[in-house]
Amino acid sequence: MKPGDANVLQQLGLKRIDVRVMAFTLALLLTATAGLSFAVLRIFERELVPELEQKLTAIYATMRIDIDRALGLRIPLESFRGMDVYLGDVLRHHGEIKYVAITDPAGRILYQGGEPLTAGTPGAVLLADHFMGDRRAVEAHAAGPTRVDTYLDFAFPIERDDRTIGVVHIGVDADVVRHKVTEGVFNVATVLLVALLLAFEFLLLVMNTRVTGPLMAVAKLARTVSQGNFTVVLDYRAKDEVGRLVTALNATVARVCAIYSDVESRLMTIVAQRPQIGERLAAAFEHVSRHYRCTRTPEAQRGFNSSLSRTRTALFIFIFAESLSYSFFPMFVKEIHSPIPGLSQAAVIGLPISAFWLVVAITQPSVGVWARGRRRRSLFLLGIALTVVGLAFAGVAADVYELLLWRSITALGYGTVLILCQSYILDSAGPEARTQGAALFTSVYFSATLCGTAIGGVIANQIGYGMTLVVSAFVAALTPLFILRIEVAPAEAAKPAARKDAPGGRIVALATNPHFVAVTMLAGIPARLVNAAFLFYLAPLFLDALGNSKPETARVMTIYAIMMAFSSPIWAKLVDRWRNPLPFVICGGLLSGFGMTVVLLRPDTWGVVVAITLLGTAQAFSMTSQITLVTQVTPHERRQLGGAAVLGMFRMIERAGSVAGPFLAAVLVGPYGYHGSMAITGLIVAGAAVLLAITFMIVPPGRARIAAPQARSQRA
Amino acid sequence: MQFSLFIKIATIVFTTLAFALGITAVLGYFKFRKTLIDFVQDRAVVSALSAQSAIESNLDLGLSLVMLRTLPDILGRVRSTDPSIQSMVVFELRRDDASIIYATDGRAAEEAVPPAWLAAQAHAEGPFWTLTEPDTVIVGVPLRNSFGQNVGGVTLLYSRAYVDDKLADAASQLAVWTAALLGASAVLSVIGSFFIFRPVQRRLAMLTRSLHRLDTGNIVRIGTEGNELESGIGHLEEKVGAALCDLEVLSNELARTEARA
Repeated sequence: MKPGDANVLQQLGLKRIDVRVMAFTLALLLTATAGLSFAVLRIFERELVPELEQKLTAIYATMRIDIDRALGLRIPLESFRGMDVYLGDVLRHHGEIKYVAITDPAGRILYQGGEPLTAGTPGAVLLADHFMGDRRAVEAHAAGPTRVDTYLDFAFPIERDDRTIGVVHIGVDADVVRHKVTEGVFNVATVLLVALLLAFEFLLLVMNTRVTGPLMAVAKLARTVSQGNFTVVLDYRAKDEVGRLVTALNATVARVCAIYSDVESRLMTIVAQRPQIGERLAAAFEHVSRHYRCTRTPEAQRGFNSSLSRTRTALFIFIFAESLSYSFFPMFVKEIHSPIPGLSQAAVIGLPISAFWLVVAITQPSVGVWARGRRRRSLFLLGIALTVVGLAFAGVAADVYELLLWRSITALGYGTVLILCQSYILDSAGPEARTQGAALFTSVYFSATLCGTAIGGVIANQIGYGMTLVVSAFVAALTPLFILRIEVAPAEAAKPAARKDAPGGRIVALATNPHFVAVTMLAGIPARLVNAAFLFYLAPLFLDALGNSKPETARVMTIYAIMMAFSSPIWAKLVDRWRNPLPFVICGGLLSGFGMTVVLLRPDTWGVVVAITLLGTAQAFSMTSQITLVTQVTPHERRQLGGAAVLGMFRMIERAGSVAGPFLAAVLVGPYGYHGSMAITGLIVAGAAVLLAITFMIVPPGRARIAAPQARSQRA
Repeated sequence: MQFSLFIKIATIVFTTLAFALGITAVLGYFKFRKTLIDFVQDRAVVSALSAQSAIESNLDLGLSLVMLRTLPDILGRVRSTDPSIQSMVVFELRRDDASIIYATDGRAAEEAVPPAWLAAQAHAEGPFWTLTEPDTVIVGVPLRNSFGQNVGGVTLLYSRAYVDDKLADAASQLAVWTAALLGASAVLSVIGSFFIFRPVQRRLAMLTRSLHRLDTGNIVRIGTEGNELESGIGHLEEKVGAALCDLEVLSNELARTEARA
């Protein structure tokens, strides 16, 4: 029974309360942001329509100079030549102007430009009628613009010798200001999504640590007491209903224990003073004590562990902070790019990304070994401190060398925190629920990535790339708030190191398993390679080159995290039911590979959207399946080295793809361009998937499993 | 001080709302700022291009910039179309330097042109360039003669105070709206959370009261049916009741013995 589980909520009489709170939060969020958006629109209309009018006045004034020049040459207003070209120029230079017309004082159109007037639409008739009836324009234009059909008509009188000889009408889209507001609607939607996911995380934390966790402990204690065990009370204090219930429960247990102790001490006195009577009473007391176990002072126990919930929230905040820069990091490197002898600009851009993943790849197994026997909280804090410093200084880095240094320090902290969180979650879940623990880790990782990537683009659009990295340092600095209250024991104590326990020994042991080698080289590494090359390098740069804004780029990038966060659990169940992960791994490789080639057919934003969607879908089922496949093909190695060591080696080796990806992309992008590089990277991944299929067809896993021990015995 | 569960939940809901409203307000402000600056800049560019067009048509007649006697008229006319124009300056580019020909703000002729203007004009990628100084926004356009040679430029100087005032006004309006919505959200968060948690609070309070009554010997059984929590407490009550009863019997017997003694 774990906190937050729907069954637990039902068992505690809190059925669907989480759903109700989230629905209420969503309704309130939508209402409040809609209200604020309405207020923004009002402010825009109030402040910007006069600005628009002033701009049109300036345009009119420019036209007046030319008109006056012609009138000064005694050319009548109705006899100007070349006005089509002239008005066409005005329209071309000012995109928001939909039409320009010059009428005589009676409103008859003398010259006109712009589709609304020239296309002969009903709107044109309406406008013509409006010009005819717009006496106000002849008298003064101070009354402001008039809405006609879907246009806002600004009328400016042409006066000469104190009389109006014509009127210039300039029309703009009536919703031009509204469009300026709605341009930001996707940003507001992004904020809403992130706010909702943040609310979900924090509500989950409060519900687990303040409601379901303690109530589960109350239910458990009630069961213990109802079996006659009065030796334990709950160590939980809170000034709310749950706290009061716990206090009442503890008082009840304490009262029974107090009466029991009182009876016991009185009985002792009587037994000492009058042994004959005392014996009869002692027999009666013994009968009672067989049914009820009491102590003078019941032991106070926590009863529930909130550390998993706190770790989950800490991980969420930490990943959220780090992923704020995902959507723009290559552009940031490009911005501060400084030439490095012997390296092209593309390679220099890829360098900090590769360096980051290289340090993560080295850090994770090293920290795993180093952490044994040490206090995990101190390591957590050290990792967070390194990340905060790295992010903050990366944001103010002056050149690529500084950026490399600070990104490496960030990676050191990131790798440390990530591996500690992962091992803590898996340890807390226990061996029987490791898969669920891994699923929890994955879902938190990708929902945080989703939030960070999406909001990172929005923030960077306003305050720039460097400052967004500084903001991410501040966010990462919030992580210790959740780490500090984690109940941590030192990580498992060091065991005597076996020969194969050292990484080198493990590699040798696993290198003799052809299927492990095939899965790692042809599925694990290519999956990481395509991630680093496409997702972290090519896609952001290509989307930027296509003219997408930073928030738009971030939103497209978010699709990957959405696919991973929401479809991974579904695929995981399907893979478990199917019991054969190989087809999923192969199909995942093929789909993610061929998905990249879509950009050859559509080298635009939609092509990238499709490619990222296919990559997210493919990796959602292939990454989960890879782990299951590794587990299936390494039964002997897992018995010898342990499952965690085998998976750890797989994870470490596959990171080579993350390191190589940006370099591969940098090499390809020069001769083949962004879309060509994407397609080639995709074909490499698809090719690897085909080779994997061939390998498993030639050497079926069953035969290898039998062959492996034989080979080892022969070597021995 | 006693806190209710719903207050904790309301705090989370309100914090989320404050986050969303805060970011939405900031995004709205930045969007307004960008749009306002674009409008003001566009207006300045229109005025600058108008002056450019008028001056270049004179240059097309073969006149040099210093010979243009109509400059005050042209600039005065353009300036009159937009009251937010602080001043206008026409300068001439020479072989080695550049100097002001005419300015509406009393700058002396032959005064040297600020190097930043020349750098901005030299590096301009479009038909105009802009510079922002602490108090002024400057928009400039180059002047070309009939041979397409760059002979000088026209600059418009706008007071930043105009834009800053507008921005401050919009920011205060936005702040008022945000504060009002936050206030309303706070109230609604509390009310909503209260109603969502009321049944839970009632049940927990009922269980607590039941345990308190048990303490005072006034046992009101809540029953062993229902969810795991309630049935657990129900079973506990039964056991506690039985224990208290057994211990009371023993205690009474002890008391009688003690009295006899």
